[in-house]
Amino acid sequence: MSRGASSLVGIRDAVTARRASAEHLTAATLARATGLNDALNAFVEIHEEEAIRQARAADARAALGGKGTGASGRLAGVPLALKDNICVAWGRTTCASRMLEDYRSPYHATVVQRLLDAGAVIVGKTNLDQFGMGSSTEHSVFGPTRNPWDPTRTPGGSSGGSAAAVAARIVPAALGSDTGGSIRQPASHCGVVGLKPTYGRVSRYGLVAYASSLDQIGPLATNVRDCAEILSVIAGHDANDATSLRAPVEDFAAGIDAPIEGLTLGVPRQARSESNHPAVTGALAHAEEVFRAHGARVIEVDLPHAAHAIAAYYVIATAEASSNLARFDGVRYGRRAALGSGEGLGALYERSRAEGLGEEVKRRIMLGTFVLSSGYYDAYYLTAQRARRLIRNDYDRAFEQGCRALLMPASPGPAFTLGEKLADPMTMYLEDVYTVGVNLAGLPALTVPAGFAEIPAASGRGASRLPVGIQLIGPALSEGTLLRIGRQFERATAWHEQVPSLIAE
Amino acid sequence: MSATPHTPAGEVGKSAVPGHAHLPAETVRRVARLSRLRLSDTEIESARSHLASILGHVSTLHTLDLRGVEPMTGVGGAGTIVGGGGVDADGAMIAPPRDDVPGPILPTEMLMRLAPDTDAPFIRVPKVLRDSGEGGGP
Repeated sequence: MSRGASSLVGIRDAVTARRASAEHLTAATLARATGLNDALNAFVEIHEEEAIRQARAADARAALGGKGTGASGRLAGVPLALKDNICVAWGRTTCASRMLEDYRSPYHATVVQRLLDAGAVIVGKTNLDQFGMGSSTEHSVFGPTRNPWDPTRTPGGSSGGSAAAVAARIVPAALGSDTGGSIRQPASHCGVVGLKPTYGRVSRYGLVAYASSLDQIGPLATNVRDCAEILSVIAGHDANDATSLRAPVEDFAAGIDAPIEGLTLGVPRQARSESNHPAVTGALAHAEEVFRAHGARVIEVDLPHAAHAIAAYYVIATAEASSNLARFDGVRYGRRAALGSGEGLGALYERSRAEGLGEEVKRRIMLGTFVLSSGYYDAYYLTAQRARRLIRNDYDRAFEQGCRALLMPASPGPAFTLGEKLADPMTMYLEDVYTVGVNLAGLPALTVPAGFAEIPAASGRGASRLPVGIQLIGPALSEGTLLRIGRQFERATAWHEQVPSLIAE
Repeated sequence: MSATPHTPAGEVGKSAVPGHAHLPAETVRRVARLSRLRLSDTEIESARSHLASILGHVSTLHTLDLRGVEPMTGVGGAGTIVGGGGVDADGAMIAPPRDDVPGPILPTEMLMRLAPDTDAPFIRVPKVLRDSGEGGGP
C-alpha cells in the first residue's frame, strides 16, 4: 500500500498545474479508504462513483486552465472526507444512528456546496459518536473507529472517523463538527491538526443539529496551512443560517508564515492540573519553551470558573439536544417502529425513538428533558446559563490582559483503550474538561500535535506511542492569529510530520 | 440565585433539591414519557443511576455566587438581531434579518420519498381519535 495522501496544498497545486491527475489521485484514495477500513472503520460510506465524477470534472477544469469554469480551484482535485452528520445530496447521512440509517438528504449542506464549488472531491462519510454525542466514536451503530496509532484504542470523538482518516493519510483533510471538543480532542488523540472556528463563522445549514448554540463545523488536516485553506473556503455568512456571522472572511493562508515575536500567550493556571498525564504536562511545558524561543511572551492567567464548565455544558448541551432531537418522531422521515393493532400515535413516537436512538443519545435527551422540566428549570438550566456567562467572562478577562491566545492541553491524556470509559458515562464526560469551555464561550480554538506519550507494555498489551496535542484558544474571529501561532509551532517542532507505523507498512 | 422550586402542573417530581443521590424511579419514568421514549425497567434503572451521577456533578454549580449574573442564552445574542444587524455586546457581527422573499424550496415528491408511510399526497400515521373517543396520541 502507498504511503498515502500528501498535503492538500501539494495536491491542489499538482492538479492545477496538470502534474497530477485528480482522477488517479481519487482512485488511489478510494482504494486506500476501502483497504484500511477493516482495520480502522473510519468510513461509514465511500462514494466511489460520485468521487470519480468530481475528480474528472476537476481534471477538465485544470485542462481549461481553470478559466470560465466558475470554480475557484482553491481545492482543485483535493480528496476530502466528511463526518456523517453533514448532509450531502447523494449517499446517506446517518449520524451513525438506526434512526437515520436509510436517510438520504435531499440537499447539500452549505459547507459541502462551498467545497464542491472550490473543486474538492468528496470521497465519503466518516464515523462518529451517534449525533455527535460522545468522546470516543464508540457510540456508533457501525461499531467503533480505531486509532491508527494503536488499533486497541479509540481515536477520540465524536469526529473520530475524520481524525483517523486524516491520521492514516487516507485523505489530506476532513470536516468534523465540534459541540464540546469533538474536533479538537480526536485531533489530539490522532496526532493531527483540528480547528473549531468561532461560533457563527461557518454555516451550520445542513449539519444535523445536536446543540445549536454550541455546534460548529471545522477542518481536520495533517498541518495548519491546510486547515487555513479549508477554512478560507467554508467560512462566511450564509442566509440559510440565522446565526452565521457577517464578518469579512480573510484569506487565512495568506499571512500564516508571519512571525509571532512579541506576542503574548496565556497559560491558564487551571491547565496545569495534577491529573494530567505526564506526557501532557511535558508537552505543555515544551510548547511554552518553543514559543518563548520564538520571541513570544508567556504569562500565567486565571480561568476561575473553568472547573464548572463540564457541569454547565452537560446541562445546556443536553437541554438543546432534547429539543433538537424531538424532530425524530418516526412520522416524516427516519425510522418508524412497526406498531401492533390498536397502538396509536403516542406508541409510534415512543417506540420509533426507543428503537432508533442509541443509549447515550437517550441518556442525553432525558437529562435535557429533566433540566428543562417544570420545577427544575431554574435550578439547573437557568443556573447553567448564568455559569456560562461567568465562563465567558473569564476568557474575556484573560484576553484583556493582552493575551492573543491561551495555551492549554486539548485533553488530559492520550487516547484511551476501547471500552475503557463506556461503563461510566461520567468518566467519558470528564474527557472534555479542557474543551467544553470554548464552546460555551463561542471562541475559536486550534489543536496541534505537541508530543508523544510512550506507554510501556503491560498485562498482555503491547507498548504504544501515542500523540498528544495542545490547543490554542483565541478571542472571537481570531482564527487568523491562531493559525499563524500554530503554524510557527509546527514549523519549529515538526511533530505533525510523524505518522503512525501502519502508514509505512 | 433563583433556585426556588415552584410546583405548577407538569412538574416531574416533588423536589428540586440538588444532589439526587436518591432520584426516584418514578421521576425517571416521567422524564422518559416527556422525552417520548419507551424504556424497559432495566433501562429505567440504568438511566436513573446515570442521571443521579451527572446531576450530582452538576449540583456543584450551586456553589457559585450567581447573584446579578444575566443568563447567557447564546453567543450571537439573538435579541440584537432586531434593528438591522450590527455588532453585539460580545463584539460579534450579527447579520440583519434577510428580506422576506420566497426562495427556492425542495420539491414535495423528493420530501415525500423520505416518509416511512404515505398515502399520496399525505403522510400516513395511526388514527389519533378513536371511535371510542379515546385519543391514541400523547
